[in-house]
Amino acid sequence: MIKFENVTFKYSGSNFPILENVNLTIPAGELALVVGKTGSGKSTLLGLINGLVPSFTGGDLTGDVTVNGRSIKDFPPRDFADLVGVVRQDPRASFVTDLVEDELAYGMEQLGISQSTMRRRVEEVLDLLGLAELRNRSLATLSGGQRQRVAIASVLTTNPKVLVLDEPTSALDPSAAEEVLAAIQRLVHDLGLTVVLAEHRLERVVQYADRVIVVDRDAEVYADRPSQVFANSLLAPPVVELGRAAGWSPLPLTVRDARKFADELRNRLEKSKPRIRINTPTKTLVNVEDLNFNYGNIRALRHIDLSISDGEIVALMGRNGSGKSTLLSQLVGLLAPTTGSILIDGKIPTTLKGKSLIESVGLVPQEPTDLLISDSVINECIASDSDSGAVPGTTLSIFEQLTTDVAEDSHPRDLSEGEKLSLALAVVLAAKPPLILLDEPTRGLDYAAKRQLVINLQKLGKKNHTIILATHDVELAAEVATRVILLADGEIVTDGPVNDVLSSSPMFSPQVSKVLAPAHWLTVSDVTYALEDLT
Amino acid sequence: MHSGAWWLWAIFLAAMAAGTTNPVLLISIISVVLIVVRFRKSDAPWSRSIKGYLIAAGLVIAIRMFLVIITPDIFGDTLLFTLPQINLPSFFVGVKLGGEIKANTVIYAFQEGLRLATILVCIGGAQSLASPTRLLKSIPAALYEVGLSIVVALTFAPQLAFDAKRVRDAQFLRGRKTKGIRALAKTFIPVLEGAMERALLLASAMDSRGYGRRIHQSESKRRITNILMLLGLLGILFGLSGLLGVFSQSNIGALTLLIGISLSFLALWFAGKNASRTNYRPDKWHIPEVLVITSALFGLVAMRFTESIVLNPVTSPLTFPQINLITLFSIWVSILAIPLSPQPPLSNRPVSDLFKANSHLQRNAA
Repeated sequence: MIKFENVTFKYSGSNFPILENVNLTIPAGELALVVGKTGSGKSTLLGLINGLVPSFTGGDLTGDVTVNGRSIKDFPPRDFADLVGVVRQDPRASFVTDLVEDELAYGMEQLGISQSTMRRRVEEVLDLLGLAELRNRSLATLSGGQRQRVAIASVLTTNPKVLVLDEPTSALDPSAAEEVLAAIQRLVHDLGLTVVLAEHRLERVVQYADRVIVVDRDAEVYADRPSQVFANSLLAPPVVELGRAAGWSPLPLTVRDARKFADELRNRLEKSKPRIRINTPTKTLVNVEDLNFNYGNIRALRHIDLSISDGEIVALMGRNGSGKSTLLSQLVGLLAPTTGSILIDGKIPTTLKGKSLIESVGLVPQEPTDLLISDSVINECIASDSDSGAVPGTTLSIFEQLTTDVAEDSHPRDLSEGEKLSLALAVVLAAKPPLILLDEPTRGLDYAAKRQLVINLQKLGKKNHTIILATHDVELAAEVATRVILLADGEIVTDGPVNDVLSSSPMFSPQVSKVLAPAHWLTVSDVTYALEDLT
Repeated sequence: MHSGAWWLWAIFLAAMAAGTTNPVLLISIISVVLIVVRFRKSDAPWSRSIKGYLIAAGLVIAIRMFLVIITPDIFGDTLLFTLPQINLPSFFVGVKLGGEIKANTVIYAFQEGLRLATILVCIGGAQSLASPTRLLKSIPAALYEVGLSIVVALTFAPQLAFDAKRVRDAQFLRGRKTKGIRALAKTFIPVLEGAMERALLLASAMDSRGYGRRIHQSESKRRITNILMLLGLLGILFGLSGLLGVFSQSNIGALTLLIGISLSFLALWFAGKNASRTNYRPDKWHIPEVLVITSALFGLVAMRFTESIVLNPVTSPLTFPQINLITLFSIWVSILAIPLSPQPPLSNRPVSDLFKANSHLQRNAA
C-alpha cells in the first residue's frame, strides 16, 4: 500500500539528511507503529506519506514515496485527500469548522461528493466511532478523547485507504487513550484500513501493532515484527523489560502474554518486598484546608484537604478535566480559592509576587517553552539568574546537571522536548523553591528523556524538595512518586502511598503491576533490584 | 430554520423602525424582537450577542440626548431648565454650548435616538437567532473563500485570547511583571508566533483534507465568468451614478443598475456551477421560513399606509404621540414568528453538562 523507495530527505538549512536511503513497504490492512527518539525523523516519515513534507516544509527529497501507486512527486497533498487521512497530536490545530457534523463533512465537500452520499457516510462514521450523541456539539466543548475521535472521523468520511496518526494519545488520560486506540483497532479489523501510527508511549500501543518501524538517526530505518524489534531494542515498553529482567522466552509483548509467566516470577519474589521510597520528612510544607474553587458555576475543586511534607513526590492523577491543573494553579497563586485556605511554607500563594513567589514555589507548565523567553540557552540562563538573584552561572550549571551536550547558543525552540523540559526546570530551580510543580511533564518525551526526568526528580526528592506532578503517565508515577492522589470531578478520591494506590486501580496501574497483581510490584527496576538481591 | 429567514425578518422590522420616530411603535418593535429572541435563540455562544446590542442601544440614546443638551436648539416653547451658556468664537456659526434647554428638543432627541437604538436591537436579534456559520453556508459558492476566512478568523480569536493568558501566566511564574506596557509587548511576540504557527498547521491540515482541489476548469469557462462579473460590476457602478443624478434621466440609471445586478448574479451562479465543491446539508427554504418572513411583512405594509402624523409625532408644540391601532397591531403580528418557527436545536450543551457527558463515555469505555 505504502512504498518508500530509496528515500533521502534533507531539510533546507540542515547539513545532514534526516532520513537516509529509506526503503520500506507497508502492506494493506496493517497497523504499523513508528518508534524512535524525538528528533529522529518520525514526523518527517509520516509527513512524506501524503507529501505534506516537502510541500509545506521545504527540503530536498530524492527517491520516491507512493501510496496505492500514486507518487507524492506527481500530486500535491490535496490530491491525496481521498487516499490518506492525517490526524495530528493536537487535533484542535486542524479543525476547520465549529460543529462535529460539519467537521465530518468538510473533507467530502472539498472532494465534491454528492449530498446523499455525504449524508450516508456521515451517519456511518458517526456510528463507527461512537460519536452519534455528539453530532450537534460545538468542537470547543469536546473532551480530549472525543476530540481525537472526531478528528479521526473527519478524515475517514472521504473513505481513505490509509490513516496516518502522529502521537494520537500522548495528551490523553489512560481511559481516553484506550477509547481512541480501540476505535483505531476496529478500523483496522473491520474496514481493512492501513494505519501508520507514531507513539512514544509504547505500553499503550505495542499490543495493536502488526509491524514496527524503527527510525534512528544513527542507523538505517527498518521495519520488522514487534517481537523481533523489541527483543534487542533499547526502546521497549515495561512489560518487555520485565520479560528481559526475568529471562522469559519468548519475550512477551503484552500484559496478557506476560501473565503466563507471572506465577513463576511471583514465586521467586515471594520473600522480597518492593523498595520503600520515602525521603525522611522534616516538616509540613503544603497545607490545604477545605479548598473549594468554582469556575463560573462549575465546581472545579471541592473540599480539598491536603498536607504534604518536604521530600515527598506526589503524583496527582485523574481524568482530563478532573481538576489536576486547577489545583496546581491554586498552589502557585495563579488562581485564588473561592473558599478555604492554602499555605505553602506558612505563606499564602496569592500574596506572593515576583522574587518572593519564585523562591517559594515553581511551576513547569504543560508547554515548558511558555516559560522560556530568550533566543538562546545561554541568554535564558542569564535572564533566569538575574530574575532569581542567583549567582551568575547558577542556572546554566543546573541545566548541565539535568541534561548533557546542549550547545549554549542554540535556540530553545530547536531543543528536543526533553531538553526544553530540562531548561524550564533549571530556570525554576535557580530560585531554589522548596516546592516544585510539574504539569504533564512527559508529554512528547521519548523513553530516554523520560528516564532522564525520572533520575532528575528522584535526585530532587533526595535533596528534600517537594514535588507535585500532575500526570496521565502511569509508568512515570510508578517510577518516581512516593504518594499518589487520585482526583475525580474536583474531589480527592484516593490519597495514599504509591504502591497501595497504583496496584489496586484498574485504570491507573502500571504494566508490571498488571502482570504481577496481587503482589504490590510497580516497576521493572524494583523487580530487577529484588532479583539481584536474591542471587 | 434558514438563517436567511431570520435575517430578512429582522431587516423588515428594522425597516419599520427606520420609518418612524413614534416611541410607542418603536418600543413595540423592540419588545417583539426581544420576546422572539427569548423563545427562539439556541444555546450557542453567538446567541448571547443580543446583550451587547442592548447596551449599545442604550448608549446611542444617551449620547444623542447628551449632544442635544449641550448644544440645544433655540426653537420650542416648553422650557425645562437653563444651563450656563458658553460663548464660542464667532466662526462657530449656529453652534452654541449650554443655554436654555427646551423639553421639545429633549423629546425630539430621545425619539431620534430610540429609532437608531431599535434598528440596532433588530440587528442584534438577527445575530442571536441565526448562526453566523450557517448563514455563511448559504452564500454563493463563488464567494466560498471569503466565507471560509471569516469562519477561520472567528475560531482564531478565542484561541488568541487563550494564548495571551498562557504567556502572561508564564511571565508571572518567572516572577516577572505582568502589567504595564513592557509586559504587554513581551506577550505580543509569543502570541503572534503561536498564531503564525497555528495558521501554518491549519493550512497544511486543510490541504491534506483536499482544500483547493478542483476538477479542472476550462479556460473559456473561466473567461466567461470573469467577463460576466466585470460587466455586472460596471453596470452596478453606472446604475448607481445614474440614480445619484449624474445622468439627466434617472430611468436609465435604474435600468443599468438592474442589468448590472443581474449580470453579477449570473456570474456568481456560473462560477458556482463550475465549483467542484458540494455543500453538506444546506439550509433549505420551507413553509415556516416563508411564514416567518410574511409575519413581518404585515407591519411594513401597514406603515406604508399610516399617516405621517402618527409615524413622526410633532414635537413643537409638544403633543402626545398619536396611535393608529391597525399599525400597532400589524407590528405585533411579527411576534407570530415564535409559533411559526420550529424550536432551535440544542447545539451546545453548557460546560457543566460536559463533565457528565465525559463520565458517561468513560463508563461506556470501561
